[in-house]
Amino acid sequence: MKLRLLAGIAFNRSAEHRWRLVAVSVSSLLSGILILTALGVLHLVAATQERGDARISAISDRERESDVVALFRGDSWEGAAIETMWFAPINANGGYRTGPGVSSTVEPGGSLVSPALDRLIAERPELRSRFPQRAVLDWDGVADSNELLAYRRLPEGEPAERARQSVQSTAVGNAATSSDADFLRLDRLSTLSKPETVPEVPLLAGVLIFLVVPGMSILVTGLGANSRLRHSRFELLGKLGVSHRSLRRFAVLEGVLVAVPGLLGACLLYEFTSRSLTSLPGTDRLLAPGDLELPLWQIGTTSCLIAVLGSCLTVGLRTRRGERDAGNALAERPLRRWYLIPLLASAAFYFWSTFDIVADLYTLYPAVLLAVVGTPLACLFLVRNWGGRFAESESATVQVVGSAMARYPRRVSRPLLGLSVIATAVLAVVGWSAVALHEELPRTAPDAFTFAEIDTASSSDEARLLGNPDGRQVSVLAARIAGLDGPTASEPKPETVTLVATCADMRRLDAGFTCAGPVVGGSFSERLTRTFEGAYPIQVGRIDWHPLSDPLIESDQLVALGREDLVVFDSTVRDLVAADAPAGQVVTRLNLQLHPNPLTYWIVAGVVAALLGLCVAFMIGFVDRQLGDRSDREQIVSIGVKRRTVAMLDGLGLLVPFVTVMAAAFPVGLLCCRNFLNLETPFPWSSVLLVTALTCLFAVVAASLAVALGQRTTFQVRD
Amino acid sequence: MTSVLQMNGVRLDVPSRTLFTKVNLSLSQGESVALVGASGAGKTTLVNCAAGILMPTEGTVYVGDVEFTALKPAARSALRLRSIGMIFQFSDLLPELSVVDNVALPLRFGGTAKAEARKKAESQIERLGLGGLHRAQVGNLSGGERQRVGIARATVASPRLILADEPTGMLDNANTDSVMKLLLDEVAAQGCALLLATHDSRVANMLDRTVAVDDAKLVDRKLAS
Repeated sequence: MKLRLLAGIAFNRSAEHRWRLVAVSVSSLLSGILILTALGVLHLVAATQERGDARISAISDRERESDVVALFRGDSWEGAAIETMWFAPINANGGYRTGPGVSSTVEPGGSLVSPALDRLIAERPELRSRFPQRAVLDWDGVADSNELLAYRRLPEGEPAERARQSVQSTAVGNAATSSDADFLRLDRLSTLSKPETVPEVPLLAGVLIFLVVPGMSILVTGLGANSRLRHSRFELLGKLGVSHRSLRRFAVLEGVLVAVPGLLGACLLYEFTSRSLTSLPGTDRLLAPGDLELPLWQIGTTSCLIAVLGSCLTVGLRTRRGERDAGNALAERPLRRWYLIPLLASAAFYFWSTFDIVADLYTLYPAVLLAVVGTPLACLFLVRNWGGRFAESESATVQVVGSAMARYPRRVSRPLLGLSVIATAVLAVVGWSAVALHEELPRTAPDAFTFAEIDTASSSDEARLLGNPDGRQVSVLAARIAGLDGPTASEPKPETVTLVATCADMRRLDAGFTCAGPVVGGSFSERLTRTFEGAYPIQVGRIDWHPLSDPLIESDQLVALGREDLVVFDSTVRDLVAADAPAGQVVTRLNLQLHPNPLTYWIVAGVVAALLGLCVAFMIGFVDRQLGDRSDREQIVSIGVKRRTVAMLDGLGLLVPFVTVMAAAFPVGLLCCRNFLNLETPFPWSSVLLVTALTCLFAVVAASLAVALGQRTTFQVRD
Repeated sequence: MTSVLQMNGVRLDVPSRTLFTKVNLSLSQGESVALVGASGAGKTTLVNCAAGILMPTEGTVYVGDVEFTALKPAARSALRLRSIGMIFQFSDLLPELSVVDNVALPLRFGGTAKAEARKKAESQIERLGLGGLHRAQVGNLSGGERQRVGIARATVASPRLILADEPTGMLDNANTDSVMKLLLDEVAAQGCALLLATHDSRVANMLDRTVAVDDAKLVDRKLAS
């Protein structure tokens, strides 16, 4: 009977309940999609992490447990890191174990590349020489679709043991799982990693904030939608003696029942979309099969939790508000001074961050968070004060609106405060994303040489670089730098760079070099100083030159200098070094370039989704309020106020508090935006203008809706 | 005689004024009292105070030996469910439920098993002469029928006190007479007390005595002959 009663209330088709049905259905559908998407992205990141972990090489010092000798050396293409594992089987028969995704064995001299690298090679034929006889890894063998990864088998007669830094690995692609303490998990220790502007953890936090929070906001707003029918039913049950606790339980159950169809729709939509998507929307990232697919039990449990939690929140908030209002229905709690504390604390954090630029995480982020939280609280004072001024206006309409603002600042601005949070947060995110998505080549000091460091270089590297193929300006030098591990064995001098190079190399860089040594002077020395100071964290005091006519192969670390553009120079040096097997590791300034994490675009897309979601929440709350104010409007009409005046009251009743709230939110948001930017990132004017334009458009639409709703609810019966 | 309802020095303030003050009212077992007064005088509010729905600003309310005003909301609800039957002007039946389920509502919420509650409800409906309405939907009932079902719901749990707020306010004279007869017969049969708010002097005259809310005070009007 109780269930029948609740179902009867929940799905009642009477006009006084229809709005609740619409509001809850829409909000549960949207919130279900947002929250399931957030879970899906988390699932994607976890799957990526899992596949990444599964291909971490396990190395061992025990030959009997190892299948291959491995050498981890990074390669790169225009700054994008290509992680490379060179290997040679230890067994006489040439067999070896393979890990996930490595379905085929590699012939001597051949390579196995990730799908992304395969695509890159197909687009750039000049890369083909680096990865001969290539086969493609399966999805299981790569962490994500953008990963550039290669397993290269050494040619016959080129055993890796000869190369320094080689290790014994259990398998190719890590098939072995052993808890043996002698095993060591090795990931990217010797390879070039790809520095990213935003690490994974803030991304995850971002996904949660920008999808889950709006999702719950929409749901709670929708579930809190007014229904006179529901209210009267529960009031009657209360009069009959049903306890508050039971009534709260009924209210939760009724909310869950109404939310179920919407959530079911969200589950079906997500299930269908997650199976049919092949790439992550808004990014160039391909999806591995099942990346976004959540287990059915997880979808079901999440939906139930969303519905129950949303209903509990609604009932809890309503009950508390109801109890507060019971004492005096017309009284509004006074504004407290402590409401200003979050905004003042935010200002203090900003002030602190100007002195301590390193501690961004502990100063800037809390400052933004406090600003976002503190702005709506501070808005209340602004609404009250401005309302007082408007209340003195000669215009009766403005006076009525102003009086309401001054007397009931909370009630007037309650649905608008959410928009102030959105505006502040969006402007802060505009600043954050401008930095996170900003991609700029590393700056090179003017007039400096282009620079590459070749680690674990071989004699053939030196020979090829010195051969100056195709007339390209590459000079090979060995350098010993004070404070760093230099390539030569002689004693280093503080703040002195010693170049060990042939006279021809030095002249290739500076035609006027006299080869008289040992101190390099003049403008040549200044250019070299800028080059080395740009490459290493040192202060160069003096540059010495040590002439060497013999080859430099005694060292395994070479420095190549040139006069060309960095990208061209980087490619030239890598092509030359890549001819060796195993190739030496080349590091240029391109490797230091920060790349936007592909998921950053997803965060930006999430912000847009969240913005839309919160706007929907606002609209639901707003329509709810407009419908609830019907009796007030009818009173105004009954004293003889014209239709047009009612429209003015409705329009201004929204616009004036809206402008007031935004007048507080925009400056704070712009300040947050500005504080995220660094010196290299330009102010994102276009994004800020877009946000401003959208806010204005939203105000016009909302005011029109207010007028239309007011006219409809007030005059439809009278007419 | 045992006092079923005892209101001592009750005062109730609303935001702008004092609605009533120094209200003393006692109802004995089997006694029926009419509460009259002008519109807006506070009759419904006083009934709600007696039911524990509203808490007085000052004074005490006893139902039997239990001080209502000292109880927490959950205990007040439980006491109302167990000891008080409520009848409203618009009968306030739940259209989602059948007549039997509406009547069984106080029993079900009081913890009685479903089958037993339905059985008692059916028996009460029969006893009140509403046998043909067992399976009827509330939406199909006339005003008089609804009020009779409301009486059945108020009396099904054998309460000690029945509080009725303008139960005949929407009925014509014939229906008023028949509903009042049904109610008073049931009060007599169960031996409970009845406090009935009304503005109809004809209805008030059917009860044992009349009290009036006048100028924020409760005064005895007359003793019924």
